[in-house]
Amino acid sequence: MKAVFIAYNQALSEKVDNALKVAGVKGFSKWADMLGAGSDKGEPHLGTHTWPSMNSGTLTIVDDDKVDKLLLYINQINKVAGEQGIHAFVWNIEKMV
Amino acid sequence: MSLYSSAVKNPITTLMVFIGVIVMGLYSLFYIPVDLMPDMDIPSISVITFYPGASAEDIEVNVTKPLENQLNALQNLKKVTSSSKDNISFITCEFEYGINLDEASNNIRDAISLAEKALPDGCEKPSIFKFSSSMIPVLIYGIQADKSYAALEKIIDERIVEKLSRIDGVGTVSIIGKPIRIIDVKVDPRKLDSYNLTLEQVGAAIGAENISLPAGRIEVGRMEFPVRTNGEFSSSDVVKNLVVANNGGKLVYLRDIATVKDTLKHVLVDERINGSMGVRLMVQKQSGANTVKIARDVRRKVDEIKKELPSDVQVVKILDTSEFIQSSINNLSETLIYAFVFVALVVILFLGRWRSTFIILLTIPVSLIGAFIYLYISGNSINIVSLSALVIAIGMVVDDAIVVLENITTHIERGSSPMEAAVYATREVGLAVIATTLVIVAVFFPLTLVGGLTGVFFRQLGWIVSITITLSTLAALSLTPMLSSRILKGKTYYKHHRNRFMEAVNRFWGFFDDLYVKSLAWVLKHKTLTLIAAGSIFVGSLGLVGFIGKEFTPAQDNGRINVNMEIPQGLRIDEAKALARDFEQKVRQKYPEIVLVSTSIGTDEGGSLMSAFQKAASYIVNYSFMLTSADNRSRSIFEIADSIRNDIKGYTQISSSYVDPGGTRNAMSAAFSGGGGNNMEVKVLGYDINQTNYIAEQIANTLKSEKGFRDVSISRDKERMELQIFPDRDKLAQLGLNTSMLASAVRNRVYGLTATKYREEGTEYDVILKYNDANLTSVTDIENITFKGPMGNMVRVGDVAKIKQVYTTPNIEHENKIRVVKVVSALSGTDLGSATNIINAKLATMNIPNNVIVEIGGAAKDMADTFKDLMLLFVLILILTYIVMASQFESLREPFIIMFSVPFAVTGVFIALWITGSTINLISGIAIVMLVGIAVKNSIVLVDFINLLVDRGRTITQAILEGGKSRLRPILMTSFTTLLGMIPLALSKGEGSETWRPLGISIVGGLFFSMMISLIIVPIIYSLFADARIKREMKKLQAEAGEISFED
Repeated sequence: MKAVFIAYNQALSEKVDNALKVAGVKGFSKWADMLGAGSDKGEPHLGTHTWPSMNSGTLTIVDDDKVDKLLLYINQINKVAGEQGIHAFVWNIEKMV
Repeated sequence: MSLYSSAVKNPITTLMVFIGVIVMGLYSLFYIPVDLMPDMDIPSISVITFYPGASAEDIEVNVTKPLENQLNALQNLKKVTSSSKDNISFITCEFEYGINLDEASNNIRDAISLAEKALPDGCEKPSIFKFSSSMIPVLIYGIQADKSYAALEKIIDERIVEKLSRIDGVGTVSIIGKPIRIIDVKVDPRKLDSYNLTLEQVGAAIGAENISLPAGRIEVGRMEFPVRTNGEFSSSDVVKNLVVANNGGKLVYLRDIATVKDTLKHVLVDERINGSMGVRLMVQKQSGANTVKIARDVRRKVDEIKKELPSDVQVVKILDTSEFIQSSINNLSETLIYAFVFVALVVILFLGRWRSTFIILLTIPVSLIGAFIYLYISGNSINIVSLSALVIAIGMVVDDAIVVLENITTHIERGSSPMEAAVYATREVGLAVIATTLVIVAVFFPLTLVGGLTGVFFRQLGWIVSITITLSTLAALSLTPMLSSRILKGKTYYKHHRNRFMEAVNRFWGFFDDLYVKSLAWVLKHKTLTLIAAGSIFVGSLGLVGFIGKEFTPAQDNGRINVNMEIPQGLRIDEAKALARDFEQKVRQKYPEIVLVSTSIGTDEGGSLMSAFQKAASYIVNYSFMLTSADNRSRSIFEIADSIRNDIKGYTQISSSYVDPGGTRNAMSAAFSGGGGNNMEVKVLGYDINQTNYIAEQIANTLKSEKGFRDVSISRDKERMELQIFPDRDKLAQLGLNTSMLASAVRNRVYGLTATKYREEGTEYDVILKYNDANLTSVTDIENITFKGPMGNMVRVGDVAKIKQVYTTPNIEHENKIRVVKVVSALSGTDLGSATNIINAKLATMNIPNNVIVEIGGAAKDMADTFKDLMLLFVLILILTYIVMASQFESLREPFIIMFSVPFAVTGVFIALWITGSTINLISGIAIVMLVGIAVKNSIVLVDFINLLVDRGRTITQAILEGGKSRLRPILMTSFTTLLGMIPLALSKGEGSETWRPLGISIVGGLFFSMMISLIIVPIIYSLFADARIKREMKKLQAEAGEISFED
């Protein structure tokens, strides 16, 4: 089991939701409005007048075999809409009840 | 959930809501009346009092004064003017615009009841008369006849008036100058004397013969019969065979002492249409009815009626107010369509995509049609003000949609799906869109609060633009994202479908972007030079003001010219008629543009209501010329009027005259026809008639010698000669008589005595007795009038009274209780502003006594008042815009920078007016006020974006250059849509275009100039302020650093 946290520009919501669906991921937690900025490139997403765009975040705990599939789709989204900003982070899940 | 996301998620609902708006708008459109001007009830109420037999001076002292004293205390009163003439006092109370006239008329009634006690005994009860726009005739027909002329009265009443009155919306149908049939009995006074009879006796005898009297009833067996003596005349022939006396057993028939004719009354009115005899038929509408529709119905009905009339009866249209309305409205509707086409062209040329263009253009019908709903609900009409408002709005309603769509496109190009981009991109710009809308509303909404005559123009404009702009913002935040999410294609689509047109468009504008950035970089390095150049352009443009004419409202060519000619008073009507016929001939030959000549001399009755409005007498010839429509002739009514003035100079017998292009001299028609030129009015106020006459005469003479002043005339009529009979009361009393008996005896013989009424087919005709014309030709004839005293003795007028020739003042006018004489003149080849200056200069050199006040009134006063109102409004709107912007930017500095585009808008207006030779007037004044909002809008977009970039970490110069490059296209696009929307208005040439052309010219000039300048000046000012701020902050930092080190 691995945790995948996807932080992305709200404008990509639909695409991310689709990616989860296509990767066969059913369970997830989502923060619809989230603030954030990338470390090296891209615009900050702060919901202010200066930086009006906002992020969403999706956290999903998936079986190991689904992770690569999901990341593949996320990468595809990043290729098409790199300027909008999307990142995915993966780490291990040790226990679950 | 926000508006845009729910709109995108529920496309059907969104679509249905807007279709609903369109359907309601179109439904409203069917029920909105069409009119020339917005409904404006002239806030004036008149009080008319008849006092038969009183001279003008008697009326002034005994009737007008007591009434004026009471009326002057009314609430909301602007001024009280009055005119005291023989037999009639006519007082007009003018109120502030927008007051409740019903309440005002109640107050007037109260005031009158207080004054009534002070009125003389013989005076009739004062009656109240309210002006209303429905009193203006919708149509005037001339009816001519040859053989049927005698029967015209009956034909018109039964066949025309009745049928027209039944048309829905028609108020009254009235007839001017119709022939009246009478039984005319002209008595020979010498024969009367020889039979020892008097006119009264003959009259009584005739009256006694024409009688039908019920005499009770009798019972005959089982039946019952009413009994009646029937002596009613069975035909008019009976009259002359009546026995009027028994002179020593010999019967005296009426035919023995008089000539009896069944004829037409000898009227002191001469109505001609194209030179042949006729009467005028006037159709008025009910208030609130649709002028255009009524005129159409009436025309159709008249066409039907024409077929049923005798072949020699001709019906010609003299005036059709609906024609001018219709063609003005058609012109403006055409302008609206051109504006739409231009806006569409701009959008497609900037975006290069038909899908985006379609989405943006869709906001136009949605928001404009919404305005119709407002017009319907508020009970307003489609008129030139509301249509011009739509033309103004058409270029602005797309702006919000453009901003939203531009951002959505940016997001899509970055890779978002149209669906997502629609929601998030709209959210990004939503606030900015609402803010710019607030600025526009801040400019236009105060217009709805303006009072006075200007308010009539402004109110609808303010409401319509505020409503359409608000609707367009709503559409931009819901309809535009919804349609974008459905229609626009994603980035991948364009990879496979290259849009070469769009690429070309982008290359083209890319070139401009670069050019702009280069020039911006240059001016940022040469700030002082640029600022000096801009400053001198502004100051220089203010210098242009001296070369631009000033007037109140633009003169309109409405295809009508009125001419008024007076021959010396006291001359017989035949003299006037001869002059009129000759002049008619000449005019009809010389000016083929004139299609109809309608002439009127004299009035129906001395003291009728109409005489209070129109100056008419037997020595005055009133012409009304109707010309072909303005597009079909090369000369304007003003040029033709000038030429007619020259023609009039050839007639030496004319004592005074004026030519009135557009028909604005008459106060009522001026207010409603909206045409003609400007009149200059100088008022001389003072009690002493001779003194004020002298001063008025002096002013008139100086004005006559000035260039530009035409038809200078004085409102107080020249003194008129009268034959007055002064009774010798002692002698009268000795004979058992009094003055009243003498007066009625003379009246019966000169004016006539109605003996009885002859009835035929339900209509009654007067049987009128008077002396033979041949026996009333000199003063001696009046002295020789004989009548019978109470003792049966014959009395000669010359024995009991003296007859003198007396000069009387025919009319005395008051303004706010003070006697006034007005010197009125038309202007040609000069404008109100310079005319006012000339008059003021002349007045300064004149020696005016202390008890006389001379002031300038008329259009010049209206102009001064209006310009003052406009200035106030301008300042108010500047403050309001500042407030809105300051709260939007949360800063006092940015709005100030943005405001720098306003002076250059004014510069642009002046330059445009100067180049096109237009004038500064009410309409171009409105344009300047509106430009405040339109001009700052561009700078808001620019400054907002530069701010954004500075916040994102760019340096000031970087931010300015980058922001300028990125905002150039949206600014150019929104400016050009507004600007090109106005071009058709600025270029229009049709009927009525004179009114709104200055509006178009001013906005095009002002917007173009302010756009160009603000793209350069606003960035410079921005950088100056930013530099200053940086310096300040540096100092502050240094000081703080110092403080810290000090503490250490």
